[in-house]
Amino acid sequence: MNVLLVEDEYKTVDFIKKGLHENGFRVDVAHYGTDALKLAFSHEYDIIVLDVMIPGIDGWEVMHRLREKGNMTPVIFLTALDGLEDRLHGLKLGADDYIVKPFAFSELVARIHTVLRRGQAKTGGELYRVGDLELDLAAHRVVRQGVRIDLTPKEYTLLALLMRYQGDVLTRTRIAERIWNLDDFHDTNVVDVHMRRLRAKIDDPFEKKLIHTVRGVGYVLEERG
Amino acid sequence: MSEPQPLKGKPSVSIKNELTTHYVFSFFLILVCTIGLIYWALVAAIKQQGVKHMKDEIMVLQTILNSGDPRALQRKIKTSQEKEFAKLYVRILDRDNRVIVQTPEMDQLLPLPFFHEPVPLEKLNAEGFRQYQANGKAFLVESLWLHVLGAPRIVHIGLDVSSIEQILGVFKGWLVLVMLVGLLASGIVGRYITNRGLRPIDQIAAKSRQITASNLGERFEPHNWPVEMHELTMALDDMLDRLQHSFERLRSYAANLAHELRTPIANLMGEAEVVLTQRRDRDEYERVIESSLEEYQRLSRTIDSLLFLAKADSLEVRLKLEIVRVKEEIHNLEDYYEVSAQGRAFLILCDPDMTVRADVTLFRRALSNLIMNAIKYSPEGGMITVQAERSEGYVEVSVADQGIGIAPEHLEHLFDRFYRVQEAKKLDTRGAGLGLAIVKSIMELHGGAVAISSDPGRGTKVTLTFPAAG
Repeated sequence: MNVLLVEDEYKTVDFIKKGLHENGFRVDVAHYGTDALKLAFSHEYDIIVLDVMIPGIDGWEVMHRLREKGNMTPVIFLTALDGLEDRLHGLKLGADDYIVKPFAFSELVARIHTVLRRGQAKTGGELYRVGDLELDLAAHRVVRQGVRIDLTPKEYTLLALLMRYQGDVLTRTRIAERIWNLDDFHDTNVVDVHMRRLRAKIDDPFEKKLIHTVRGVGYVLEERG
Repeated sequence: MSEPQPLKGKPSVSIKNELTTHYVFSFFLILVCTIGLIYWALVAAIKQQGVKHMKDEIMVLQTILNSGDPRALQRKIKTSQEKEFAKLYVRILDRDNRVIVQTPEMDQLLPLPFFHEPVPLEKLNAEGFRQYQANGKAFLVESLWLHVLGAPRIVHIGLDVSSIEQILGVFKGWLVLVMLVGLLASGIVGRYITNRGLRPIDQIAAKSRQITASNLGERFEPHNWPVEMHELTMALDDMLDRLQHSFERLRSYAANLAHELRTPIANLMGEAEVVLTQRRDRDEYERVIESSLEEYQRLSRTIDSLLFLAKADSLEVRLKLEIVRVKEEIHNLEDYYEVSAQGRAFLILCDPDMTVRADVTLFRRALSNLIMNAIKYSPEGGMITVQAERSEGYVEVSVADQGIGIAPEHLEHLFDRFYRVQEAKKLDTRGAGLGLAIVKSIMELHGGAVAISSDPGRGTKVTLTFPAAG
């Protein structure tokens, strides 16, 4: 997977590049809008992560010129502007997503995955499987090692979310947002309690753990080693 | 301190000019009336004097004529004519209007046609005589039937009153002069009095100009000023009270803000510095990085909150109003928070059809804030009551706990930014004290209100009032 990162703040470049690299992406960096356009037209990228406020021609303009010349590479905007108008402007230009700084890095990875997945045909249909854990959306049933596990509706929704994004770190905010529609203005630590309850049913009775805490960030569901 | 800048725009009305104009106008009116009256009285008196003189002369003439002494008559006619002032002109005619004798020059000055039909002495007009202006002179004239030595004669009498007119003319000139001088004097005096009377306003302006942010404690103190300035000085003092209060709040706001931002930064710097002073094992590094993540999140949350409040203040927050189903929202929040309520029970009293027109994200934030507080400050096993009621165009959503309550002196400040009750700080060290301020902003954005009531030791109830949907 090739990512073009357009960002002028070198510290931001450093950590995004490093983080994406560790998540299996190959990253090219452009500091200016003109460089970004040159790279975008000369290479094939799977996704472009584009900062709005860059020197020279800004992110909006880069986006505009890309689309004008028929380059349909998915774009995620990065910005410190969180006004609704800005967000709408970005999406209207054809951006695929919009992330406000500061953001959790795992959030960026998750969004990149989501955008990339969007392009592909839906996989797996209605059945999720991680290791020996199965979630059947149609039957509304959770089974681990052949044993059916009873979950409350919210626990079920939570598990479904984790399984759908298996391998991606989900931040507390993202979980609270996806399940309860609650943004960062709410106490997102409550998510820990919900996770604890879910783990008590999914992981505690089994030796092999599937739900993992990413300290200070959030949770990920995946089969490890 | 800068001099007052000239004001721009439409020329303003000057109270001083207006008052002075009124002064001058009133004074002028009084002056004109007084002087007019005096002049009129004077003219009347002098005319009266002329009439008396004329009557006297007629009497004297009659006596002379009756005495039948022609020399006396001659003398009277001649001497009279030689006088400088009040010259008397006499003409005696027979019944056929033939001149018998007359004062020289009378022909030119007072020819026959000037005189009316003669009247008998008994019918002599007591009120006054006819007056003629001729050749720049003024005369009182009368035509009488008199018996001269038994024969009826027509006597024409003319009294030269030009000197009287002259005196009146001079007098008139003086009066006009007095009037002009009076007018000028009244202008000057009026201006002086106005300036003097309005001096307190200048003094208030001068004092106001000296008040800056550094001496907002200064007051005008109404009792130091004339009664008429009490209203104004009181209003100014009230304004200063409010300004001072706002300034103090702003100052403490800035101090609190610095504190809220510095604390996490201090933690970050300190931890990083300490951990870097020597080699540590991996766990230690991870612990520090995790701790810093928490601090970053805290900073980020504080900034988000401040940004939201600032935007709400400047009305930059655009509400996405929609019909919000209150019970669903309460249940969703209950579902989320219940797990952390640790034995605190929720009691939800809400009509399932209850709706409000609100921005649902902000509605959730407001309600969530109250529920978080209720959980935080409730004892275990306590009941948290979330209730929604409709009353005349409003929907009231309240969250009540059975917690420690809040002392009355804190209640009015609870919605201030960064305001935290000491006891609350011990219970929750993570909050920045912006939660209720945000709730208040949200309610104001919705044209609603938030109210708090508390019974120390028994619990607190916060009520959100939304305008009803539809």
